[in-house]
Amino acid sequence: MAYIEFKDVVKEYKMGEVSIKALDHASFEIEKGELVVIVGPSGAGKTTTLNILGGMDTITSGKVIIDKKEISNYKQKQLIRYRREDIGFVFQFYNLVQNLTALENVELATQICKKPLSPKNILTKVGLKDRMNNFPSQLSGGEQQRVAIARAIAKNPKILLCDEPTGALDYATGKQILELLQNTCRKEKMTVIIITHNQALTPMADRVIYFKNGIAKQSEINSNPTPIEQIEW
Amino acid sequence: MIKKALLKNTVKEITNNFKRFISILLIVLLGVGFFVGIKAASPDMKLTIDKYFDEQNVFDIYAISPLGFSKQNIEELLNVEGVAQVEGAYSTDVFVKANEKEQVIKIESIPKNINTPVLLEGKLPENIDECIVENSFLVDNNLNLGDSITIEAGNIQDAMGNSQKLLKKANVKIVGIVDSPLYLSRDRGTTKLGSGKINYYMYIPLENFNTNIYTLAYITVKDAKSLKTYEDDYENLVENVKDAIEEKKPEWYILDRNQNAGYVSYLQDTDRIANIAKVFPVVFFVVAALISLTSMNRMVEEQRVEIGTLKALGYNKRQIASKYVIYAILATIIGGSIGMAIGFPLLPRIIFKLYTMMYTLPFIVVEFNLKYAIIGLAVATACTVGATVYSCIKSLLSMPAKLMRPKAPKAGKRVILEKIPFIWSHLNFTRKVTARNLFRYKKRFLMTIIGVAGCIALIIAGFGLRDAISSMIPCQYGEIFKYQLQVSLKNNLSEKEINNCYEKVVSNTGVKSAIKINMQSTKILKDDNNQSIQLIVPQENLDDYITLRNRKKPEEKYLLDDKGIIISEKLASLLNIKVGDTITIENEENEKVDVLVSGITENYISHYIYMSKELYKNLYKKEAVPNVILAITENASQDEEDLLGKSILENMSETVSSVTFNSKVTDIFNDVMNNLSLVVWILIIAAGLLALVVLYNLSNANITERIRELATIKVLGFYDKEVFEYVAKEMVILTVLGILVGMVAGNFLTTFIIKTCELDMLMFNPSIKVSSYIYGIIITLVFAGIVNIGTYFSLKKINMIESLKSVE
Repeated sequence: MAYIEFKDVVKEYKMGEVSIKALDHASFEIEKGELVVIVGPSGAGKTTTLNILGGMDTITSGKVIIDKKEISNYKQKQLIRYRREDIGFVFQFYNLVQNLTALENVELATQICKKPLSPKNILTKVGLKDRMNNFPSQLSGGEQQRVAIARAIAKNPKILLCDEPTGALDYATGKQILELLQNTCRKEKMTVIIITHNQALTPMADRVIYFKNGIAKQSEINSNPTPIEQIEW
Repeated sequence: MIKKALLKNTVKEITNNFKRFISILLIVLLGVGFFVGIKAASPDMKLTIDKYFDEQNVFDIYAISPLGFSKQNIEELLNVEGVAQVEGAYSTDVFVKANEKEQVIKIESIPKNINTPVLLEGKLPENIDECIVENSFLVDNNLNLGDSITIEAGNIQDAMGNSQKLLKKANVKIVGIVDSPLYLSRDRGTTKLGSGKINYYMYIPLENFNTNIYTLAYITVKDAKSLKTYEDDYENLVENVKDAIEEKKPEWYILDRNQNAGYVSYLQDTDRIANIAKVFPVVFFVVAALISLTSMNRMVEEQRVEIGTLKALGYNKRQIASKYVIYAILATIIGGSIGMAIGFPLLPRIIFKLYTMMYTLPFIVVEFNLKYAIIGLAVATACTVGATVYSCIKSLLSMPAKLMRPKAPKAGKRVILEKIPFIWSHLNFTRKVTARNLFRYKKRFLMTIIGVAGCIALIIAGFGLRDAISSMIPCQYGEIFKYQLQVSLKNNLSEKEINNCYEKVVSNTGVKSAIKINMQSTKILKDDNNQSIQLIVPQENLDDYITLRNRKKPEEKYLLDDKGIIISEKLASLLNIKVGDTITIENEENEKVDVLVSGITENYISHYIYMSKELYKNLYKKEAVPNVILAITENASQDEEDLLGKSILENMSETVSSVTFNSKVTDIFNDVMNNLSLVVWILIIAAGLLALVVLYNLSNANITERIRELATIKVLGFYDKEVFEYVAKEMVILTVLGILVGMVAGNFLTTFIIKTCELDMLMFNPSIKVSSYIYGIIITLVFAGIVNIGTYFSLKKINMIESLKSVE
């Protein structure tokens, strides 16, 4: 049994009389500790998949099993606990709390966890040792995303979910962020799932899942992933 | 010109943002409703008196003459230019015996045309041995229609110098109950009879008087009815006719309505209400402006992109702004109209009802006051539209492209508290966040405090007003006046008779002890006051019967000495008299003396001057002959009191004129309390609505403004309860701060209301009970709680995915 099993998942949105299938019998598997890239054009169902994996959305039919637990059956409260203890989330627009310093943004996450990592150590690891006490508005986009990643990692989650983490960043900064994610996966043995529309990123992953029209078209294992610094796009 | 599509968009905006629309509408409703209602109260009350006087054809001028008026005099008056009608009347003060009890009554001849009394029950007299009386005379004396009473009118001298009885029939039957337009207030005036106060008025047919010389001539002025009695035009018209009469008859006293004490104090009281109306509505309008400001600010902010799009499409600033302005104007007009529909008829009636406890007026005129309607709507519109334009202006001046880009979030900042490491390092994480947020959103910070403080201040004022009035009676008739029974003696008794009478009163089993005093009406000659004052001169130590003390230091008791007098507190504050001042007082015989004020004593009802008998003798060169006995009785039931009173009256009918128990006075004021609780409820409901609208708005603004932050912490795995606490902590702190501010404000507000609305003859107890503060806190917390429950569910409903999708 795989670490993450996404089985025959259907997600239907009702918009008045019309219903739209964001996911139409999508299935895939992910093993523990893998760096996964999910690619596909917009509207293919990538983000919906990520939201379901992250416990932020429910499914219409099918099964989602993570670490032997069927989260698709979870009630609201269980979902919150699942987000709290098992999931770290990195957003395209960072979503830092503007009124908190970098360190405090990380603490916001760690103060509700059972076994958090030290916020200061994590911020040092992501290269923000000297920027801890700055507010988001005083940080560059790349720095803000590092804080967001630190906030996700510091919770010591089972899975790190990243929704277009480089979408709002320039090329060089984006590359640094991906490197950070790749390193985190390798060094911390964390399962990292990255959503992107950028096909060029696929070589960095252990596993690549292609999405189209709400279906996971194919899932490839990459036995020899390329370090991010060697990828150009 | 507003484009059709834009207009449609505006209408849609109302349905889309219905809650916001309603909250602006509600606060305008409150503001305008309160404004017009309170503003209209004073003019409505003035209109009422004008209509009442017109309907009863009340005199414009009256004349008195030491010699009286003959029929010929009346004819002469009719010929004076400007005079419409003249009616001669007979009036005198008499003792009336009813159920063995004697009281001082002003009897007047029944008017035919001028000053017609309002018949409430029964009929007008048809025979000369019938009379009509005021209702309280019947109630206080346990009399009914059809009962007979005896008038002790005494004799007069006729034209030939022969003494003859004043009345043809002294024993008269009560056939009707009336209200006289000449007696608006409960004050019936003073007299030389008895203890100096007239108790009731009564009408008997003119034919019953054994005389054809009138004591009074009532005059109405041509065209005076078409003018308002309280306006200068009326005064001028009447003044001209007065001058014309005075020219012809210089030996007469020519007087007008301004000599009627009830009428004058009624008009003064309407001015008092006008004073309150100056302050109260301001609070509501300020809040309305603040509410509109936050609401419209939010709305414009949320619609940045739309504004940008419209600008890009080529709409001009005015067209874009018109959408928000129309939205605000619609809310204002609808809210304002409902507010007026409620405020105009309701508030003047309530205020009037409160005042009719002190005044007798049969109806109230309530009108739609166009002036205040326009002012109210204009001010409300200025507040809401001003706030809207202010909110729009920044967005409208930006370039479309900038508007379509996401707005940079408000940057975080260090707060002042962080500079004090001693405090900051001791705060845990969530407290630090709360502290930062509190300092970050200053506008919301202030508004919450103002809203909550306003709410609690209004509630405290409501309860405080009730406290002030309810504690007045127990204080006056428990702590200040410790006697229960007042026995008034007849005039001109010998010393022996008085002592005899005293012994008899004390010998009653129900009576514990008694004291002889002299009581008479007096005046203070200072400024232009017409306060009626009782002068009390005790024969022995007064301490067991009446407490003379400093209200602020109750342990500080005053003793009467031969150096100065002690005056009651309200009198001192009305006439601005201080301890150490020398004042001139004048008694009923017009004897004036200068005397030192040596103390100001706690007192809540009526005005009193206390003087030692030694000082009286020094000043007036005569003894203060006792005419009243004050007695302390055993704890007695109503029936036992009635029995005691009856026995004194029956056994001492030769010397005693009347018997009064303080318990009777207390009963009258219980009605007052019932009406007051209505006012308290109105204040609480207004306060509650204010708090609900303000807090709901702020909580809503708080959530929408921080929706990404809240969605983020939900993604991080905060439980619903934790998300709520994250937001609610600020609300709780602000509510607590608001409560503290409101308690202080409530104290000031209560004092202000009390000072503006208390009548001259009363002093409300200005100390607010602790329980009133507690009620205020509890009620405010309940309202805050309701809003917080709403907040909890709004937070629960936040859609994480939608909120985080992109920057709004």
